[in-house]
Amino acid sequence: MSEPVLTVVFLLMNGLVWGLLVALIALGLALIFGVMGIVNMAHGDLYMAGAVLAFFLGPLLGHFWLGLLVVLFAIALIAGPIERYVLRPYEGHPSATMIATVGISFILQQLALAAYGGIPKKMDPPWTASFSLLGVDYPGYRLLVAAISVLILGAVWFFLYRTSMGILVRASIEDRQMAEAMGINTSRILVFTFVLGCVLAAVAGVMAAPVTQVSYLMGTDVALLSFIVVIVGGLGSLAGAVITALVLCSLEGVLSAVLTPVQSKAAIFVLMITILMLRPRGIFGQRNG
Amino acid sequence: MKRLTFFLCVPWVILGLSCFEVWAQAKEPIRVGMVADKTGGLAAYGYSHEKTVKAAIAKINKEGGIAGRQVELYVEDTESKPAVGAVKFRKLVETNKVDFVIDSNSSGVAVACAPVAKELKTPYFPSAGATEISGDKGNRYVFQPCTNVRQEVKGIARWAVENIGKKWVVVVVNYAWGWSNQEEFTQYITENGGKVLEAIRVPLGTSDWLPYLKGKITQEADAVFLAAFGSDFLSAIRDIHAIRPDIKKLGALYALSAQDVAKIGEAVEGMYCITSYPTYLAALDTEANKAFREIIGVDPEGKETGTGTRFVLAYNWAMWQTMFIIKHGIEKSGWKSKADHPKFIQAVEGLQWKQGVEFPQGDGSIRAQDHLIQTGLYVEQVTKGTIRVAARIPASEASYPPIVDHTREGF
Amino acid sequence: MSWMNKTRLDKSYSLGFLAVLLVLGLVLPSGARSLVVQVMVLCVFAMAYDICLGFTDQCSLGHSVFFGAGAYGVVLSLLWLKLGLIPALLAGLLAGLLLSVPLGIVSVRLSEAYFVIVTAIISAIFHLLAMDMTWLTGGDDGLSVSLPKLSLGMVDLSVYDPHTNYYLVFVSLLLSYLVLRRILDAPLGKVFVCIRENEKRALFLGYNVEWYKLAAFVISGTFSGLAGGLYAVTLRYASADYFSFYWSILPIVWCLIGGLGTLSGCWIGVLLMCLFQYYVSAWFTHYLLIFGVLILVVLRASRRGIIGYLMARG
Repeated sequence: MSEPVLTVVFLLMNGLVWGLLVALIALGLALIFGVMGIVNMAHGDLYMAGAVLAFFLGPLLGHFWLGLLVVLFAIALIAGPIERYVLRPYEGHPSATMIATVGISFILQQLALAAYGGIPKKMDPPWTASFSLLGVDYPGYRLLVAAISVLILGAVWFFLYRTSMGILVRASIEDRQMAEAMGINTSRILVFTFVLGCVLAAVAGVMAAPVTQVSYLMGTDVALLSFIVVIVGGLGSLAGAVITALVLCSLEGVLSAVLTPVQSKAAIFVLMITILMLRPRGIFGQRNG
Repeated sequence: MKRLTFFLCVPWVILGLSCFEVWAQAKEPIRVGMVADKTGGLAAYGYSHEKTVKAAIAKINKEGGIAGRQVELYVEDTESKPAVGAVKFRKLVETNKVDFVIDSNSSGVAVACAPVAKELKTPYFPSAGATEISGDKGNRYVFQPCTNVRQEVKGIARWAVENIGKKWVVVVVNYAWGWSNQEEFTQYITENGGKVLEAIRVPLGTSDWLPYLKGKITQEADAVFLAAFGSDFLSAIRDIHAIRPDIKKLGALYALSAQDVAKIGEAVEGMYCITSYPTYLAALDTEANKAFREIIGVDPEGKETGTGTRFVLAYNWAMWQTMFIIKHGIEKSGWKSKADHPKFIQAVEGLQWKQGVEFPQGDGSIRAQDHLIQTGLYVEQVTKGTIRVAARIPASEASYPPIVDHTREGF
Repeated sequence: MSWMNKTRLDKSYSLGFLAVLLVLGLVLPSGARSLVVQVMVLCVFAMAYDICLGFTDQCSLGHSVFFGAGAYGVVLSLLWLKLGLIPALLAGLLAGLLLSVPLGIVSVRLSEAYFVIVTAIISAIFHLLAMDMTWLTGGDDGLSVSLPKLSLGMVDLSVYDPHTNYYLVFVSLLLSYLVLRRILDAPLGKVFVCIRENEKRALFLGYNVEWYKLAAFVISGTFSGLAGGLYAVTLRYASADYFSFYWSILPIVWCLIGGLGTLSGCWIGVLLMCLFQYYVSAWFTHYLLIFGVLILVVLRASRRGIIGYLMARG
């Protein structure tokens, strides 16, 4: 293969790895939106919280993967009460709920700033092996992250489509009122979905920590990206979110080779607006949401 | 209804009380205001600058103050945002009645505050390195007590062409500081007989630099000039190494600051970096520098004593020296109150100093025309996991003709 | 308390607030006066935003676009066209208007959550472009401007005089309030409220809901432009940061803390937030933490903010 083709293939792949992480975050966002009907403005900060906690816990526990598990439980323990006691009172008022999540986002960011400090830091990957890939010394940890992300996505799919709890969640996405009328305990489903969504973001944060930089503002960009993904994919469409995340990130990777960073970002935005003009409910969105 | 009225009055009462608080204070001390970037993107700088300035003021006060008057510090947070910085600048002068204002590492904050400084007739010493601050965006009230991008790049260019290589790839972070590094470096490298093959701009906070670098650093290139700091720098250096392990590297100002080079390992080995204040004590092993580091709590390797973390040393010296520039300015001009600011400014224009505890970075001066510091630079190199000084650049080599002449401007 | 009473209460509160501001300009010391100038400018922004969120229930995350556009409208027309101060402020207003029409056309027809996210993304594009087009905007470092004299026919006043500065902003706030109040008292305003209360019913009644939503969005954007312009004038500075997400979040917070859909309830929110930023941040750096908690507490007490809470309690 010639050098330019090699570069494009490489960028495509590299974008795909990042896309898998974004898919996890966007899937969480789409789940929360689907069931609860709210835009979670604190989603990016939960991703940040995962990374920051991993930064502290990794060295403390002496083991990165053990840290991942602990973070997972810690976030679940935080997210559950947040849904039940902070967000629940505003149920049925999407803008009030959204503002409440803005409040949570302020709190998470400032706590992280106070505890972690303002300097973005890098974390060592738990696996330092690297492979020679298309002429580049490619870190093996990223491939590992991609593999784990695929596993998690598979597990979530299995859960949603093959278990009874998953069916209840999907029923609530489809039609909350009807699900309630059928005797489904939607209160439990609400808490559960919110926790699952937040945990997905936090797990992505933990795995991203060694790849990217850990800082208390790291959630902002990612949140915007996952908003785009969810909107283009079609709100509430879970498969749509995953597919869009992968396509968008690979596309941005390839575009950044030919355009300047700002141009490639702007191109993505323009593409997104065009898609929404043509299909106001996203590519995979149903006619009636 | 009564309750409504009561609640509506509360904010106004608070507002009123906070005004009285200021009136009630005595008028004796010299008040210095500090617009520090304590939160937001530059939070790390705000922390270290505040610590350094507090140490400097403690030292001044212990030694009897300035002209017999104690110095009082008022710190405000800019949130790393220009607009907030300008609001806080005004607050410091109008509410806290400060006489001088210092700091903010953000060029945006400095540019936003410069016209306010002139309007409120308050001398301002930012610690931002944009060339415009001592150019067309400055004014008679604004001084640049740290080196700026043009000085740094001009200072290094000839040395870089002679000692590192002729054909360069420039990699910068995609914002104002990166751009001016790119433009100035390209200009001065060309003037000295070198050539810039390619310039790459990468967004701030990019964790994955491979997509931007792949295919752009060709075999023809001798060296890379990299303008990135903090964790951007770490990602960049790792990915440059992944693409061309053999290429020589030169970092822009403070690229190596606060980095643990031993930990980065092979990717950074042999890298050069411009700096105005060496990270390791060994590189500038003077009594004055040792004392300065002890007072601000930084060990010989650049770690903060107590926490053991790498201290962001960048521009701390400049903020420390600024306190003493103010001190000497006041003593030289006989400044008593705000009415004497013109005298103070004239005294600082052309102020010269010799190396000492008050000026640990070395001999220097403030150029009268553009209010820019004139001082020497260092070229650091990573060797076997520590940082050594490879060369010293004298002030004359870094100096360029002033862009503006503030001395003709009125007060 | 009946609805009529509430409106009257609301109006007397607004006028009382404005009267206090009128007097404060003369008696305050310089520091607090600058703070109140900030508060008044941001009050214009908050009111403008309230038209969008409080009256037609469109939760926009893109108002930083109009704020930034207004600021640059003023600064660039001062720098390039050498306009007077008042024409420049009108240029800021116009910039808000010109941008809000096309953006409104793109976004108002989207359903709630799409609207939120699409406006957020539009503001992200503008922020990105403003950061990149340094030749126009000065990028992150921004543009500072020296202001011409304010010519009022017979006299020329310098805005560098604190009182002129104060009353220029005060008059702008007063005019914006009166114009917006007039719009809301007119049939147009009643339709806005109707759409907020029940969009479907408004549609069945034969109103072209999309058109009215667009009208509210454009009015909102126009006055946000004015607010941005005033902000640039009081700071004598504009930067790409004005387009950032931060400036889209702030008005929501003000409106929700103060009280949605009351036009002037948001002033309380602005005042509180500014006091926090101005005074609390000097003692406690992480004041946003307290503010986050405050948001949750206020929301818990009443979804209609402090004013709504007080009115309900009387």
